[in-house]
Order: sequence, then C-alpha cells, then structure tokens
Amino acid sequence: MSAVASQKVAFRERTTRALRDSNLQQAMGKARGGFVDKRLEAMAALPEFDETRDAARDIKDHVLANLDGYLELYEQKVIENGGQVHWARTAEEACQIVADICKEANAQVVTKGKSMVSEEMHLNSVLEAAGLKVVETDLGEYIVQLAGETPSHIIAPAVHKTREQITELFHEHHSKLGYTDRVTQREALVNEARSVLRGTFVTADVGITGANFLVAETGANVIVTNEGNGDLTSSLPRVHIVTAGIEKVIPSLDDLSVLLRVLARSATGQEMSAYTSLYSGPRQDTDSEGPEAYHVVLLDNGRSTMLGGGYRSMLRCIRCGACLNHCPVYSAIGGHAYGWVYSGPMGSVLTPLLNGFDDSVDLPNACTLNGRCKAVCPVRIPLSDLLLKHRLEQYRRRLTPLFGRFLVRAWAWVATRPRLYQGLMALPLWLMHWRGHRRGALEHIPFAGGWTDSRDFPTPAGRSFIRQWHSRKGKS
Amino acid sequence: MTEARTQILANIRSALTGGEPRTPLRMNELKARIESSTPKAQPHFEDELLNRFCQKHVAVHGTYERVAAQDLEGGVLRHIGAHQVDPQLYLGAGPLLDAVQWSDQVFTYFKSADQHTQVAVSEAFAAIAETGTVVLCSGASTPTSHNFLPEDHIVVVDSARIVRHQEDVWTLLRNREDAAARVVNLITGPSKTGDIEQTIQYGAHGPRRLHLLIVELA
Repeated sequence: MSAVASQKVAFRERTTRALRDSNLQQAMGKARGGFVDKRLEAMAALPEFDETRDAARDIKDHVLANLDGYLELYEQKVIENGGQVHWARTAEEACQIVADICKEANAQVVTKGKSMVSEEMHLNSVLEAAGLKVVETDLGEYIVQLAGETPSHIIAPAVHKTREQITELFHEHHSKLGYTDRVTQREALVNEARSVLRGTFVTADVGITGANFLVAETGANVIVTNEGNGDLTSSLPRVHIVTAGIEKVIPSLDDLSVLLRVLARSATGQEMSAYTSLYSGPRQDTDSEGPEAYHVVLLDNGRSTMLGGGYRSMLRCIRCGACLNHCPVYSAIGGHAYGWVYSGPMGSVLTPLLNGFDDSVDLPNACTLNGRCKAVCPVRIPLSDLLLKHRLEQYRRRLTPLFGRFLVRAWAWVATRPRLYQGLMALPLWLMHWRGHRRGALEHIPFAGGWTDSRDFPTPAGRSFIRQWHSRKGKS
Repeated sequence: MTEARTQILANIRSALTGGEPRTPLRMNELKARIESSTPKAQPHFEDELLNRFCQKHVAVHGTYERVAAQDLEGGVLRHIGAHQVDPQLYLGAGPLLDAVQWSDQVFTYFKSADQHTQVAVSEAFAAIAETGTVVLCSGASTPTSHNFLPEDHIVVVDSARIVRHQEDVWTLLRNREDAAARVVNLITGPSKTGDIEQTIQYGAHGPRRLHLLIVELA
C-alpha cells in the first residue's frame, strides 16, 4: 500500500512539474497539432484507409491467435538464413543475452537504431556497466541520450526538447570534439550530429536495432526509418542484433504491405517513410559486405500472459504513436510524466500489464475517456475501453482509494433504486437550475470544486427527463 | 536458453488453447497461408505508372531526369555538376548500368562505400508507382552501404521495372532467379528527420539528395 501511495504522489508531482516546465510546454506547444493535421491529410488521400485498417487488425488478430506457430516458422527461416534466435522471458534475460553476444564479439563500441523494446529492457545501462560505449544514432534518441534522459514519445523521442536546449546540449558535448561554434539553426544542428555520428557508424563493432515487423515468410526483420541511421546500424558493424517483442511476427510480405500502409500514415502522415528495409541474416558468400553474425532476441516480458486475458488486442499495437498525438492529456504533460518508456494511451494500457498494477494506479485514471485514441488507432485497439477495464480491475483489486470506493458503492446502491434516486435528485437538480439557468452554466458547485475550478458546469433542466416524460404523457 | 524458449511457447499455448499442443496439421495450415498469400486492401488508382511514379517521387523531395540509355553518364554528370560534387563514382550493377562505357571524365570504384564517399550510382531492382519508391537489393556488386553513406545517391530506373503496388515487388522477389537478396531497401525520397522541433530537415544520416535517372527502352 505504501508503494502505491508513493507512486501516486510521484505521478501527481511529475504532472505538476510537467505543467510548470516552460521548456516542455513550449516544445509541446510547437508539436501540438502537427502530427494530427498530417495524419488527416494522409487519410484524405487514401479512400481505402478504413478498409486497410480493418485488414491490418485482422492480420494482427490472426497472428496473435496462432502466435506460437508463427514464431516457430519465423525462427526456422532465420536459422535457414544463417542467423540465430534467442528467447528471453524477462528484460534481464534479454539484456544478458545481448551483453554476452557483445562480449563474445570482443566489442567496444555499439551503435543503436531506435528500439522501444531496448528501452523497455533498459539495455543501455546494462551494456555501459559491462564497459561498452553505447551510442544512440536516431537524432531524437541521440539528443535524449546526451541529456541523460529517456524518450518521451515512441516515434519522436526528443519532442519535449526545444531548439535552444538542443543547441546547449550539442555545445556541451561536441566542443571537446572540435565543434566549438554554438550552432542554433536546425540545419546546422542536424549537420553537426550527422558529422559527429559518421565516425561512430563506421567504427562500431555491434549494431543493435529494433524491428517494426518480423516476417515469417522470409525470416527478415523490417525497420522503418526516415533518417537512415537504422540501416547504417544494421549493415556496417560486424554483428547485427535485433531486439523485438514476440508480438512483432507477421505471416507474409503481403501482410507487411497492409501494415506499412497504415503505419507511416498514422505516425507522421507519410505514405511511406524514407527507408523501409528488410534484413535477413548475416553476410552470404555472394555478399561483398554485411555483418558476420545476425542475432534476434525475442522478448516476452509479460506479453504471453497478455494473450490469455481481456487485453489481447493491445498486442496488435504497431507503435505508431497516433494515440499519443491525439491525447489531450499526453499533449499537456508530455511523455516523461507517465513514468516509464511507454506513454500516452498505449502506455497507460501497457504499463500496468507489463510492470504490474500496483505501481501504475494513476495511469488509467489520467484519461478523459474522450475516445480519440480508439478512433485513430490503425489496428483498431479499443484503447479507451481497455483503460476503463483497467479501472474496473483496480476497483476489484481494491487499489482505488477507500473513500472513492465507498462513494461508488453508495451511488450504485441508490442508482439501482429508481424511485429513491429520482427523489434524491429532484432537489439538487432544481437548485442547480434555479441558480444557473440565466447564465446557462454554473461556476461553482459545492463539493465539486476540483471539477469547476477550471471549467463551468452546464445548467441542468429543472426537472429530470423521466418526470418530464411522465407529465407530457399525461397530457397527450 | 532453450528453457526460455520452451517456457514462452508453453505460455503462449496455454493462453491460446489451454495448453493443447499445436498439431502438425495446424502448422501446415499456417505454412499454407504464407505460401498462398495474396494482396489485401490495396489502394486503387488508374494513373499511368511512369507518371504516377515520377509525381510521387517528387512529392517526397526526390529529383529525376528521363534519359536515354546511351546518355546515363551524361545524366550523372549533369547531376553532380549541378551540385558541384567530385566525379568519384561508387558504382553498383544492373543491366543498364553494366552497359555504360564510362569516359575519363569520371573515376569509378567498385567497392563498399565509406564515410568519405560522395556519390553512389545504383540500379533499382524495381520501382513502385503507388508511393514513388525505388527498391534496391544487396548482392555481390550491389553493396547496401552505397544506399546510405554517400551524400548523393543516383539511382538508375528502367521504366519497365516500375510496378503498380508494393506487393508486385514481393512477386518479383519471389520469382527472382538469383538467390534471395539478403537486404531489400525500399527507398522513398532522401534521408530526413523531424526530430528538432518536428520540422523536416533533409540529409539526416543518409543521402542528402536522391536523384533518379529514368530510362525508357523502346
């Protein structure tokens, strides 16, 4: 119980801090709307968008219903291609596997493409503790790594950073490399990062990427990027390691096309990201270059358990970030306030399932149930319904506050007795109507200050619908 | 780690079927679904393929020139001349590219690109009209590094290799006579990032410019 209480305080504190952080608010203000508008344009340009979303959902549902079979078929193909597949039950096991591969390869420098699963594993800290130099190469991830932070958005990791903050970070970290000018323009900042990271790309011993998809038909891992960093990470080092959740497998290349059509559109409003790449196995005899070894680390970390319960649809998630972009709560507090690697609606559903209910009581409640997340999801995950389900589960597990539970029970008791309910409601309704009918809204309601502090309450009609119904029925 | 594998698969089976093992018959059904896979929910468009391809490629900040097969070197020289790039070409391979007799105006290299490589000239395995995408496959003379390390990437496209939908590329790959390509890159425009202030900036880590030389054979 005390752990729950401290987490609760921590979440409240984090959101308050986020709302008062002027840099964060400035950065989020700039980002707000951009992704939403671009997605709308992309949708308008594809009349078949909804049909494609249905197809995408069906593919994912089919895979999940046959997940063990597809994982085995995928594994077979990777082995045929000369690669190795490792299975990890937990984040710790997965980190150990990656660390062992690096050690065996006598690696010193590791480059990383963006991988949310590796964030979930806290892989960087484990590798650094093992004495490796780990460099994130996605520009957003690189900025966040320099700042000693974690990504605040699954596809735009540094969305919370202003240009001024990036200027300072680059100046602090690049001066010693000879980049002594303080650059402030976007183009110059991008060029400086490009130039600094170039040397790392060509000297890295191991490259670690995630996977947007794993294709059972060919054994390929698919990565989707705009920068090209994931491809340099996959193709230049001696060893390529792919970290992926077990739910990433899909049957065929044709299935891949369906999912790609909804992924980029939902994420950034693009029809295709600049680079969609399929990597299958290590260098072949006929290749003039490419990694000598190719490893895939498949992470479970609670996913197989999710398959069985009422949250299976969450495993359809393709990590596009549309639900974050459309969430008013995310847009106000940013990703870090959620306290773990996954934020926004998908994070509020996933975090309790992967990290435990006790430690994330506030997340499903930090939601207005406006349903935009559910409406925009490319694989039609009923996110807002799952958040409600979480709340119900919290109530069942007695994780919600005692007083709140009492109120809910009292309300339920009254509400299931219609005559009593109507009798009790008549006076307050009439009072509220009397007090507010001229303005059409109430500025204050006793005992509901938390609600009316920041908004007005629309004045109710003086008499309830049922009473009006009865009296009109009597007249006709 | 076989223990982890066994346990994860057992967990999945128990979640899905209450622990019933998956029968060989069921596995064959899954294999059959993969083998008989067909495109689903494809976008419909009637545009002529070459026009659509060019229009989509330009929309993602790409440039192109339609050239005759005999004028491929001219096309390369015009592009690198316009951007004042040294004529040091890292060359890939393909039916059109292999036929070019390079003059002494250019230096040609047949090896992997490195961090100083300015220009690579590749030939596309195929191109996709739907999205303006070029498809490049790795191989003995077509290193993947050419697609990502240079500042300028010039790609030769045989207009007869432009297909309508992405899935048509999978069909071409499945029917290829050579061994399956280890790496397949679908490239749609030059490298870019939106990571600073959510504003697009070109030339993040990959090529700053993607220039196509489109050849229409009679």
